[in-house]
Amino acid sequence: MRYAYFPGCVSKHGSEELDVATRAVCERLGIELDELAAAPCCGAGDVQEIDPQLSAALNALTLAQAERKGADVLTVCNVCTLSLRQTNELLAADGGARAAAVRALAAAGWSYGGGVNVTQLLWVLWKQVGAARLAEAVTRRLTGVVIAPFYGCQALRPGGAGVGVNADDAADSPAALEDLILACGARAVDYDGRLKCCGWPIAAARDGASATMAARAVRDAVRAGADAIVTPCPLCHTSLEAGQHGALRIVGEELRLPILHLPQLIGLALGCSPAELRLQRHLVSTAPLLARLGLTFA
Amino acid sequence: MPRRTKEQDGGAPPAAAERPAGTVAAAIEVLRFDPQVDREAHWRRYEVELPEGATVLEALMQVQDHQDGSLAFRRSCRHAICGSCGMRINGCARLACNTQVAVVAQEARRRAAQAGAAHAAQPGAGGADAAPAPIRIEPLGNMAVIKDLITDMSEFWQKLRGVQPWLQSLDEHPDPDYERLMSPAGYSVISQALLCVECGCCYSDCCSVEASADFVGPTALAKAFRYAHDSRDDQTHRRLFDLSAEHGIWECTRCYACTQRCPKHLRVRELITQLGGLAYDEGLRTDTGIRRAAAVRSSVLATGRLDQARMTLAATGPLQALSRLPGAAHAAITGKLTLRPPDPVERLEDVQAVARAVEESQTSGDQS
Amino acid sequence: MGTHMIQHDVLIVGAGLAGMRAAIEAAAAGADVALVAKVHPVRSHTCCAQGGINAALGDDDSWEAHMFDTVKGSDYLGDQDAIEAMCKDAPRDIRALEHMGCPFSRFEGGRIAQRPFGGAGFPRTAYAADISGFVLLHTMYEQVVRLGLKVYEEWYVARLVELDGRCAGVVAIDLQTGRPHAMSASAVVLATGPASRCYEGSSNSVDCTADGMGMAYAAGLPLMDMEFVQFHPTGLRNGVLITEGCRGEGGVLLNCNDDRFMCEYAPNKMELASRDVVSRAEATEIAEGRGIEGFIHLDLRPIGAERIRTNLLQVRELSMEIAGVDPCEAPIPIRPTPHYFMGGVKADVNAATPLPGLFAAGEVSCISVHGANRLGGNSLLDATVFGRRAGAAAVACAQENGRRAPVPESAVADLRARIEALAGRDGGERQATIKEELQRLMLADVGIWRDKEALQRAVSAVVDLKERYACVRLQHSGHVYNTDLVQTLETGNLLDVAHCVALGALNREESRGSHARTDFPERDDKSWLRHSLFRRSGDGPACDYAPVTITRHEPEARSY
Repeated sequence: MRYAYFPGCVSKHGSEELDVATRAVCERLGIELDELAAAPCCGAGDVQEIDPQLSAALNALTLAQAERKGADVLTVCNVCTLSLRQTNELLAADGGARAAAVRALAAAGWSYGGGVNVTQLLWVLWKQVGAARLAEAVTRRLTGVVIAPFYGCQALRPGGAGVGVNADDAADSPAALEDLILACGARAVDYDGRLKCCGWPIAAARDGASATMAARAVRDAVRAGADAIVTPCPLCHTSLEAGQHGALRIVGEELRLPILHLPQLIGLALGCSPAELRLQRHLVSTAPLLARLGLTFA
Repeated sequence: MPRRTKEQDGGAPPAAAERPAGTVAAAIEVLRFDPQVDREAHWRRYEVELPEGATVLEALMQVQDHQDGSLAFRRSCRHAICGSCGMRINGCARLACNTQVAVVAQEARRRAAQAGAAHAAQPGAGGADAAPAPIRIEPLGNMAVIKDLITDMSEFWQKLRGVQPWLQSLDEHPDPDYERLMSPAGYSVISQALLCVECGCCYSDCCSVEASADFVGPTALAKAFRYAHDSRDDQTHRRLFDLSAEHGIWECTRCYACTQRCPKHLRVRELITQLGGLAYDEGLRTDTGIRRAAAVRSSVLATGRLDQARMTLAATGPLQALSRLPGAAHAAITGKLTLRPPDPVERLEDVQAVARAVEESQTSGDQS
Repeated sequence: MGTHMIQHDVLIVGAGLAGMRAAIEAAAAGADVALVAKVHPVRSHTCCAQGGINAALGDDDSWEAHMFDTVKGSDYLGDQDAIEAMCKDAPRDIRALEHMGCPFSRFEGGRIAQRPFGGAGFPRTAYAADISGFVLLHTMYEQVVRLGLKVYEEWYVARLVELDGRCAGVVAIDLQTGRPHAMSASAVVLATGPASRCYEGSSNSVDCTADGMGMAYAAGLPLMDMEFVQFHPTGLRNGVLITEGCRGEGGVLLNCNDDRFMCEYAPNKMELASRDVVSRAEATEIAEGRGIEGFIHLDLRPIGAERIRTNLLQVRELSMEIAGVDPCEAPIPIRPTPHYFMGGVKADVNAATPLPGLFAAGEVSCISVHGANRLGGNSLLDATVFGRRAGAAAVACAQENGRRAPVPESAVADLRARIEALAGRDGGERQATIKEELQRLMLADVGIWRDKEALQRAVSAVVDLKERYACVRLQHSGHVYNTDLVQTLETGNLLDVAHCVALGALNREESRGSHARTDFPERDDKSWLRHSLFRRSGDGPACDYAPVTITRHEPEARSY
């Protein structure tokens, strides 16, 4: 398995633990990551809104770079995945948009033929590797640990035939995270916030509403008995951590629930050390979770 | 408090000796609430048997007509054009009249099996129990419940009214013998937004409305799109100005629940995205949300990467940023927040050449 | 109970196209106007109309041609003065709708596009893809919102009130509280829409239950031409319609031999013959064994996938969801479907009923502009033109007569007593049982093909059902959104109206328009060129007749 690895911005700056953990997990599972070091930010949904032509062109550049590497794109972020997939859809459907992107790429000496697929680590682990194979590779079963899966909106939505570009799992009843959690030997819980929004897109613009979304999701996970939340998206990760800061004001109780990046959870089960997975680099300490596994930060 | 008299208990439909070919049997659970007698809502189970291809609405009507006349829900056209029968079926807002019983029964069974498997002590200890899981039906979300599946939509309607959803033109006295012209292309621009039946499904499941009750909501924004883009309307700028207010466009959290839910297949979030772009083009750039978008764009052009700290600062301005200082300080200590700028991507010159080419084609009016 | 009195200059019952058009017109004239409707305005049945609205907009068209097509389509039972008024008003009325913001589909040059429709000699049906009624309804509601008009939403009007020989108002139940209210007005407009829910398999929305016709009949007003029920040629298995616009775009009808059988029945107009002709043709093909499992095939493939996707997108979706067929790939199974009442509350060219202060417009009324058979595209026009006229006339009436004595408390008490009686009964059937039996018998015995024996059976069956209805019991006596109560009251209206339909069909011993007697297959102008009238008398309708107004077109043989 070989992918053109698009790390995105946050995993390189601010949440470096994600990039490190991703590499650790992929190495153990035999997934080759050929990094797209020259690929620009996907636009985070913002550039798409105010400058759709620029967004299309920049994402087309990323796709062109992957094409030259002869591999599909693997990301570690919901927003990156959706942005790139939406660009693929736009270029395929809209001749004018395609022509404009082609012209822009040509200015930098690039071209994009259109055949590059975009996936993210979550789907590769669930489909290409598969829960069964993952379970076999597990050396440290996370027995007794209760994990609340937080998918993040843009992993699943818009999804399904006639609706949108995400078609990897059932948008309203996904199973991927639960299957992976089980494969690691942990238990998954259902809770109200599982498929809801973390509020990251409006963290700057409407921080009250944003924090409300995050705090409520975390509170519901705690009430369901979770020891931690796992999420495939670093932006959700950021918001779910930051949202706990003002939780007392928002939901009337203090919250200190660790938020794991997906490869950190998988990495622990594959036998990586907490230090290898940079588990000390969290706003909300992961120490209590590690303690349940008899681990420390070392 | 008035007492109800002899209420028919939910009974099974007339038993047939054998089930006729081409029928579907299902169990449905409806969240009932009668404000006259109930302190809180409670689930009530019904068994139905219907012809193949029957919809959830047909199931509910069978219950109402032949089992339990106290069940209340809105319905009219039966074919997804009136928007009356919005309700949450298996947790997702849909129209009952174009949702097939067989499909959601299967969905309920699958979820029950998944839940059973996920909560098992051992991985792979599947063994989902064979009891058929019922289809669960409850009222739309983000609205107060009046009775059973009937919600109070007054805020929803009020928000729609608030976007002034009627044609506005300075030419108030057009010639009565001539229509205003509109090209087929002009019709095509609004043809998707026109299809909104105002059912409230998107509004029900909107994450922003849930977190901020005054958010105008996706329905009103879809309606606003329809008028902002109607070539006969000349109030686009003022409309976008109003939509850029506190509970307008920039409070949308892009959860895409609206696009996911819309029973008329409107890509609602995508319409909202276009409204945001239109606001930007109209020069309405004071909202923090749009300033953040502009900051992301600048950051990407400068380094090829998103610089979260700088972007937030640029968007919120120093005063608001100060108010977030305690959180930021904590973040800085753990190393999550850094004011060190990100390393630029390799071959940044390629990114910038592409960006320049895009800008040139925009300024030269060479739009695609 | 100390509530404030509800009183308006003009009260409009029903907030569909006709009702809202009337309201807008009345408001424009400065009246204090309010709408009262049992569903939110945008839920009204108007939204189901797909195909379009007729007007002689084209340079090569004329209101005279439109009038002739309509008169011929009516099988010469339409009143020609009213038809003339409607066709003359049509172009300005359509343009007024457009000025209000209605988004019509357009020709290349930007003008309102028009397409061919059944029974028309010229393509004069303006449309918005296949959601014409829907966009009109929403446009009307937007104007109602803009004008800030008062809407009593989800109030069920249960009866009209007459005082001193005038209509004084109505009594309505606020469904949210279950409380009946007196609503007084100087002028009332009935715009309550259809009645086809007395038939099984109807195209109508669930709440099209003849309330306006039933109330007017109960108040002693005459219903007219009730035997003329239109069967729409192309309904899906559950009654939901596929628009005639499909045939206007080039869709064809095929029997089990893949033959375009319409050449046998209407060699000139083929699939675009008048609806009654096409429905009878289909019914004949099916009865003679050339159907496909009880259906006929509507093949849209000649139209082309792209045009289907632009102009007939709702059709495609309905076909896929309800029939499981993609019309781009395969023909759609359809059959004749009970759809529209040409008859209704008798009203004149200014929408005035015989009761001073009461007006009627839209499908609830019978003026008559549709006579024995309505052309597609003329219903939305009827609602628009006569909705406007009703609004204007209602304002004039209100201004002339001023505030009158309000609806008395006794009228409210009467309704309350009736409800309590329904609730307090021991034993008795569910309303649904009676309603479903009625619907089945109407389809079986008062359908497309009628004969004396079946019609007599139908009449006596309706009488039986009415007796059973007198003992019906409420399943629920709560006050909040008691839909069981509403449906029970609605069933009473359906029974009264069905009685008139069956009796009218029995009495009319000829075939004309949509009324086809196998025992009297010819049109008989000598004896039957007249409107039928039905007035309540004891337990059933007493029948009478009224002449047809003929101005320009003497009746001729009618063929397509």
